[in-house]
Amino acid sequence: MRERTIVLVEDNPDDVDLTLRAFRAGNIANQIVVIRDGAEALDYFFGTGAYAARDVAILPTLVLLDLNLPKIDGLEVLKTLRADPRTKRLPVIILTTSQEQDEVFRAYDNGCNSYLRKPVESGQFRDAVKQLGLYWLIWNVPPPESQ
Amino acid sequence: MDRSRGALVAGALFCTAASGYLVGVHQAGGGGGTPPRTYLLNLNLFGRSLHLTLTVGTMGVAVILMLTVLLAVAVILTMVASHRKRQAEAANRELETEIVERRRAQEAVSRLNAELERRVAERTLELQAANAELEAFCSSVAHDLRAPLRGIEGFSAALFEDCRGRLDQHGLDYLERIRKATARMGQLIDDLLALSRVSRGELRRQKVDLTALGWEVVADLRRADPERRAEVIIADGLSASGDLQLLHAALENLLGNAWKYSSKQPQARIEMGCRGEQHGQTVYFVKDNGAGFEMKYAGKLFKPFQRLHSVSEFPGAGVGLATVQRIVRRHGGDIWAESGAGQGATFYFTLGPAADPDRLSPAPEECSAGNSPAGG
Ligand SMILES: Nc1ncnc2c1ncn2[C@@H]1O[C@H](COP(=O)(O)OP(=O)(O)O)[C@@H](O)[C@H]1O
Ligand SMILES: [Mg+2]
Repeated sequence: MRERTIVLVEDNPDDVDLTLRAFRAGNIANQIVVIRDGAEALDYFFGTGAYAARDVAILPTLVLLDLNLPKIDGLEVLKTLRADPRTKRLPVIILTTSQEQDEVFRAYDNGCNSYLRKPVESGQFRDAVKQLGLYWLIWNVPPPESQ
Repeated sequence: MDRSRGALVAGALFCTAASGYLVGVHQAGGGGGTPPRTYLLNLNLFGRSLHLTLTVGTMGVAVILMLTVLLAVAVILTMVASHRKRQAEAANRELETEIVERRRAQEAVSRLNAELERRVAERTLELQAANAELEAFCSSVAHDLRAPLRGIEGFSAALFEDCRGRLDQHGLDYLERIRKATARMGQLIDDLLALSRVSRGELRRQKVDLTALGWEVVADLRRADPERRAEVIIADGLSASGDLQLLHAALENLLGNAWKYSSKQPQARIEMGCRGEQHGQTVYFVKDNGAGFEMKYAGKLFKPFQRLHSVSEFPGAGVGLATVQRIVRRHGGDIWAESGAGQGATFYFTLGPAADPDRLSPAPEECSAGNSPAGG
């Protein structure tokens, strides 16, 4: 089963607010779950810790994942998601600050679906988030659910 | 050595024979008044005595003569031999000291070499550590400086959108300035990162089609500024051996500058080509007919953050040419410029001795024929 939820894994509260603002401005009304660090993200996806009660069969439509996260970094989260049959096809978009070549390579090598660098200019950021929402929530054909 | 010993033995033999002879003469003389016909030889050979009875007439004289000649020869041979020996010994000693000196020098050289190698290894390690630190620093600059900047920019935009009704003209103006300054700082951080990226990583040389690369950059410039009318000419067949990404960044800056600093010309004209060779290296150029600059400030061009135009005249951070200089120098080449205020500018650059190992670049005659900058 797939909720039409977006999971935002981001530790910087300013970035969280600005991203939520950009979603609102882009008329993206999906429910957004905000997760603050890598360990919490893994708890969420695999129903452990604080999320023990969550039904892990319910997958979000889209994951926006920052790379520089407390506890477990984004790349590690991505690797863990890709290694598990339940989440290996989940659309994951890296949404981060750095555009260092090595980091981009590593993210793609570990199976991210897209890599987005947060622009400083808020207008650009808003455009990017809006396009991203349009594309991934409306146009993109998600992996078929294996019941 | 052997010869001189032989002569000595002969000498000793002669001496003992002579003494034996005299003894015999003496004994015989004591025995009777008549001259002796028979002599008793008492030879004393190396401590052993030998008794010989000889009948001497002419024979004794012959023996003595023979022995005398032998002695003379032996003495001469001994002298010659000892002279040779002294010479050989002197030569040997010289050779030995030379060998010792040489060995010492060799030891010193290998010691110095080992020391040098150790130092190089040490420095390399230090450099690697410094590089790693720099890299860590850079990505932290990228991440840590940009994040708060995004906050400032984003929330001043939010303030403008949500509360603009409650701000007067002054307030709105300040807000606008905050956002412009933030955008500038964002650009600055990006430029600095690009500058430091140039020095990192290895240089991957490959054959690069500079003509195609130039057109690619120009297409990007036109896309970013579709209203702009500018005539662009890029010579055909420009190629070099270099790092594709770095050369792309270099052309982006040079053509970007030509594009920017000729933007106030009603008929802007930008040209890229090559102009012969210098020290066996192809000289490429990017030329424009824009604002130019006074040559007396040319020394500042390639230093980071140094600008010859104010931000209100032409926007920019002043890092572009510093980046280009690092790129061409990493290739073993150089960059220089010719200009005058209001007279446009020409930037020349080379890409090092390895830039055209098997004549990747057009021959110099192709370069100078028709492709050279007017007046250059
Ligand atoms: N084509 C050009 N024509 C005139 N001036 C130039 C040109 N290219 C560079 N300059 C001068 O050199 C300075 C440094 O250039 P650059 O490092 O690219 O920085 P920026 O373009 O960001 O100012 C510029 O500020 C400008 O004054
Ligand atoms: Mg520039």
